[in-house]
Amino acid sequence: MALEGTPSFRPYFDFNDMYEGYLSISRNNLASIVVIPGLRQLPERYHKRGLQTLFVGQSGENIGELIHNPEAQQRVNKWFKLLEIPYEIRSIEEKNYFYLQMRPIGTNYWISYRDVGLGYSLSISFILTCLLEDNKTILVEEPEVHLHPKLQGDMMDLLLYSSLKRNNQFIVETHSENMLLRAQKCIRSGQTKISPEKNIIRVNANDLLINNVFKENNTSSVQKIEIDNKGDFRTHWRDGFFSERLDDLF
Amino acid sequence: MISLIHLSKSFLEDITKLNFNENNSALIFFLKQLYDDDSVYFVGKKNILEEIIKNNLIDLKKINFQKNYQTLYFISKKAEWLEMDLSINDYNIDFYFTGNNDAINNINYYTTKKIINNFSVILKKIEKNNSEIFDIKLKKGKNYYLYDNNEIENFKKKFSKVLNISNKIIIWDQYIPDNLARIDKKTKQLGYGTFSDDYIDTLKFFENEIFNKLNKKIFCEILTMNKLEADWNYKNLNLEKIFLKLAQNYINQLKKTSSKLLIKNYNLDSWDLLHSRVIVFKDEFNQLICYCVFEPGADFVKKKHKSHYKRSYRVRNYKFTPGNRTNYGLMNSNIQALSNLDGSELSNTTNN
Repeated sequence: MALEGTPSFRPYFDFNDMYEGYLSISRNNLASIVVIPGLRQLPERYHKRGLQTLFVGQSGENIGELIHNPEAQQRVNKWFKLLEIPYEIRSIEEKNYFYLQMRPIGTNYWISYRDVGLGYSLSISFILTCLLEDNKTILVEEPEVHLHPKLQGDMMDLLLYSSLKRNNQFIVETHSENMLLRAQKCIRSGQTKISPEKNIIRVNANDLLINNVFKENNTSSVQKIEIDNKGDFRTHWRDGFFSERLDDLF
Repeated sequence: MISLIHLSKSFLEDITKLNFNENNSALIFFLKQLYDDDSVYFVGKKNILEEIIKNNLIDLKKINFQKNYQTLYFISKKAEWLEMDLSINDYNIDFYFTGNNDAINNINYYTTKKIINNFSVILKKIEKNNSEIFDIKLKKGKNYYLYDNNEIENFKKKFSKVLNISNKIIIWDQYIPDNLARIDKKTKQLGYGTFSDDYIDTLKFFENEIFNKLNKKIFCEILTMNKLEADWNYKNLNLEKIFLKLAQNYINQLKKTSSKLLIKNYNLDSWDLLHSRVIVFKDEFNQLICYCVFEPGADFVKKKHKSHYKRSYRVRNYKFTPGNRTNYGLMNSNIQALSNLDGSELSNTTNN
């Protein structure tokens, strides 16, 4: 009981405020997560207008809208050049639709992005996300899907650029030896192989964390792979580092 | 515990040029076994290998050289690679792989030809080298214990070899406190244990004969549990202060090596967590390189006159058994669990 003349203290909880606060934190955290699933939709001949302009969407449904933005289109084409993808891309607006078109370099005709190699068209979601997002956590399943080995390696440079220059954190699930080899090379040389800027993009071993998921006793276990500043693995890979190839040699 | 294999430039050049289509697949099989074995370390200069690959890149990219290229690639990708300059130190190399033209008849030198013809024998030799139990036998001399010098040298060689690639050594022996000190049943006083000086001399041996002779700094952690606490008198007669002085004196024997003595509080549940005494070697990433179970204790250096030991002056056999790879995960978690227990931590005076 409070003494006369002294203010009494009554705890005050505003559950509505607390709820709103937590909800807002959760909403912000969720909004900072971007997912690029491994299973991507086959390229469409046209994309509906009036959808989202902030992200590519789970099946890349917004890429027509996004590439229609001249700045985004310019960034993608710049990286097409850096990645030696022999096309230029554009998005044509027609009534309620966007038509994504690609022009083979050195020609003057445009074709639907559905009619180019599947690797190129399916990687547009990944490329756009890397170039448009910042301060995000980006979850990518198999960025190497349908790409030939050289481009798989080059995609690691794009990923490093997006991570180090646009402050995105990537959580990547991959089966690509080439992506890891490129990461090792970047650490070894201290910089990315490809850079869109004049200044080099510095890379060190702390920029990369590798976990190897392997089967043991009918369950999946995770092994942390240490990598040194020369880009060499310092942890013995359970089941070897893509060493199945050696088994096929004898 | 581990095997160090030196790969000479000429050996790598031979692999570059070897015709694998002529029934030479045994060499790939052999190297694959070594690649998969994390107890096997390749020693040499990796830049020499990279240079060989670079200089022969045009040929290696041709279809006829696919096997040569893949073999060299996987040699370079082995995580257990040590950049060491043999002109400074021989690092106790176990096997030397050398070129066919460098005809060396030393028993531990192998060329690609020799490997192709005897690969299973060499694999067995490597396996034996990794898993072989080694020991130090103490024979009864007229007044003092006698040692076999070869056994001591072998011990030093095995330990130095692993320590050269380690950053940390952890010695777990739960009986250190009750060997360093004992509570006299009649006077209730804390005094030196019978083997107290042996524990101290063994630690001095580690420092002088092994740690100080390495080309690198090692961190030594001694992990133990204080069973003296189980004695009613220990806490009630306030004997802890005296014990900690003895323990501090013990860890101070390591004068040039940074070290810690972690004395965990006694409790019955944790006492049986890891009953074997073990020495664990860890690398710069705190990954377990290997471990070795030893018995009966970390007190194999016994310099006292036989009268000191009285009835316990008898033949002793200290056995060191390399740990089985399948138990590495369990050993890691046991050591971690022991490290996490509450207790006292003493550092030696030279922590650098």
